[in-house]
Amino acid sequence: MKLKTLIPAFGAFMIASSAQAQETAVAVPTDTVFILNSLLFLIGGFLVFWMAAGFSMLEAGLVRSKNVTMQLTKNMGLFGFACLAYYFVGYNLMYPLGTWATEGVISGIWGPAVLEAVGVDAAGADDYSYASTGSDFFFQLMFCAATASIVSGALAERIKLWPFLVFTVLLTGFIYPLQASWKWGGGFLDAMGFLDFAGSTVVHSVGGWAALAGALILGPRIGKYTKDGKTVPFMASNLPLATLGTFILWMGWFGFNGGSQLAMGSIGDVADVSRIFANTNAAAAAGSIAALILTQILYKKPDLTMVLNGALAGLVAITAEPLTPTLGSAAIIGAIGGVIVVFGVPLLDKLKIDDVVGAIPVHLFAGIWGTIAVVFTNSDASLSTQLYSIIVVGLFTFIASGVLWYVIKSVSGIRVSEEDEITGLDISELGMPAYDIVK
Amino acid sequence: MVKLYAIMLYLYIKYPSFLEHQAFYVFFRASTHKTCAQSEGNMKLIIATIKPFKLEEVRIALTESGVTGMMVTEIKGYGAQSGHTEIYRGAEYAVNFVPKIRLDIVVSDDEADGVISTIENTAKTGKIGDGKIFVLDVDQAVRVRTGETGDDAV
Repeated sequence: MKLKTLIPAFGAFMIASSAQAQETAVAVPTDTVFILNSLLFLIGGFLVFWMAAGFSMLEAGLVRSKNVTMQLTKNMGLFGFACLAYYFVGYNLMYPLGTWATEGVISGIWGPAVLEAVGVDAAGADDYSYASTGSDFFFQLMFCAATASIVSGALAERIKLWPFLVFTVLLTGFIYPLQASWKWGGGFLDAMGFLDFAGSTVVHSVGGWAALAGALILGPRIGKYTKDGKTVPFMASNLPLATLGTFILWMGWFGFNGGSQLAMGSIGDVADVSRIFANTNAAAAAGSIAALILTQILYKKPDLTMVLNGALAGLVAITAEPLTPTLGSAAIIGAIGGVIVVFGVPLLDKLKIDDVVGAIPVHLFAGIWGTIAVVFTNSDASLSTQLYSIIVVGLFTFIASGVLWYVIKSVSGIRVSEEDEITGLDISELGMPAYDIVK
Repeated sequence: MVKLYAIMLYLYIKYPSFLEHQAFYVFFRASTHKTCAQSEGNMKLIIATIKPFKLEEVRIALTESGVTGMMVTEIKGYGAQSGHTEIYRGAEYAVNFVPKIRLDIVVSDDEADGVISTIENTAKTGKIGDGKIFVLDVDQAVRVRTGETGDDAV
């Protein structure tokens, strides 16, 4: 089990070439192990897929009603483009299988993902000792799409559709896979002993950094901050949708973290997956309660939107290490995530960084916390390595995203006109209101 | 009424500042009320702003006291309370206009006092924001279906 946590999220072929993994995950290749491992990827994959629905509903609920259709359009668009970009270049960039252009940093394989043939037998499978390539591709693809979903919420209500989608393609095709290869593709961060089970840093912080760079270059929504430095609240359009979205994300997270065990072919793996499900749930519950109690104390009235963010922050925080904590420590890690969000949202507003749905506090701040928190429950983790990896991934993603945002801004502009923004993107950019209630 | 205006004119000439005196209004209101109540066919429009949660209670009390109709509008406004503040995602904001219910009730003069006191007693919570009642004279009322006018129409 300890060894397993050292290599939590390898690609299919990396597992095969890793002596450690072979000892623990698959002693004797059998059809059953192959089938169960693939099944975990498929179940985990469609749960993580469903998180796209969660992000969509959360974001549609938290933006103003004049921008709901646009937010949904961006979520559909980004998911589609992420799937294609990951297929065309991302998958092989993320899993070089030992073929590096620059050792441990840049994959040597540039090209589309290729699945196994139709109806393969044990001998024909790419890796009979582990799982089917299709299941692995499908599972990893969904993580990549989740990263892009994080960005859309932060930049909502003012960014143009196509420049946003162009960035999505570059994020999911290049930035995400490249830095993910450093850890999950067996690159230099993995070699250093960096631990990030399901991606507090690799997925969530990366989405958060890209969103932060975008928010800084894009600027706040018109009227969000007054000249005397006050924050003007823009009310959410639909809290039932936002709540539904949060519960969908919560559910999807069982696949996100549980599937990241990456194996289900032994008693130990199944027990670990079960443990991960329970810990993930505990962290989310504690995150939401922390935000509920804290907003009650600070604001005299609980703030539902913060409670929703709190649950998600709990989930992000436990993502770096959902296996080793006890239920109690999982709850504490999640609760601290919830606290971080309640202070992080107004902090960003003070800095005049307009993050519409709280994506940066949830995914970036809680992601950093979760990555650090690994050292409290997993003795294999080293604080300095965790911090080093947070900084390296953060710097790379923030700078690469910033440059891309800047280039896109210079070439085509990224922001709608003042008039279009005030009218609302639904009417001005799409000609289609989300709620046709005014006849 | 003529007599009342004569007294007012006399007072105004003799003590020009009497209009500012509150006691006058009490006197004036009581006088006009008494005077008007005696004449047939005059009506009052009672405009009341109340807390929304009190609407059903007020409606039942008024119906029991014999009021047969009312107009209800959802409004927003502020008075002495002058709104309040709320917090959304850590940012404080002012709620300048507080939701209220406006009742428009037209009754004959002799029913007016009863309606006013019923609304006052029922809508009262004793807390800030209970609302206000205004009373205006109504010149005419017509029931569209039958063509009845005045008291008969309300």
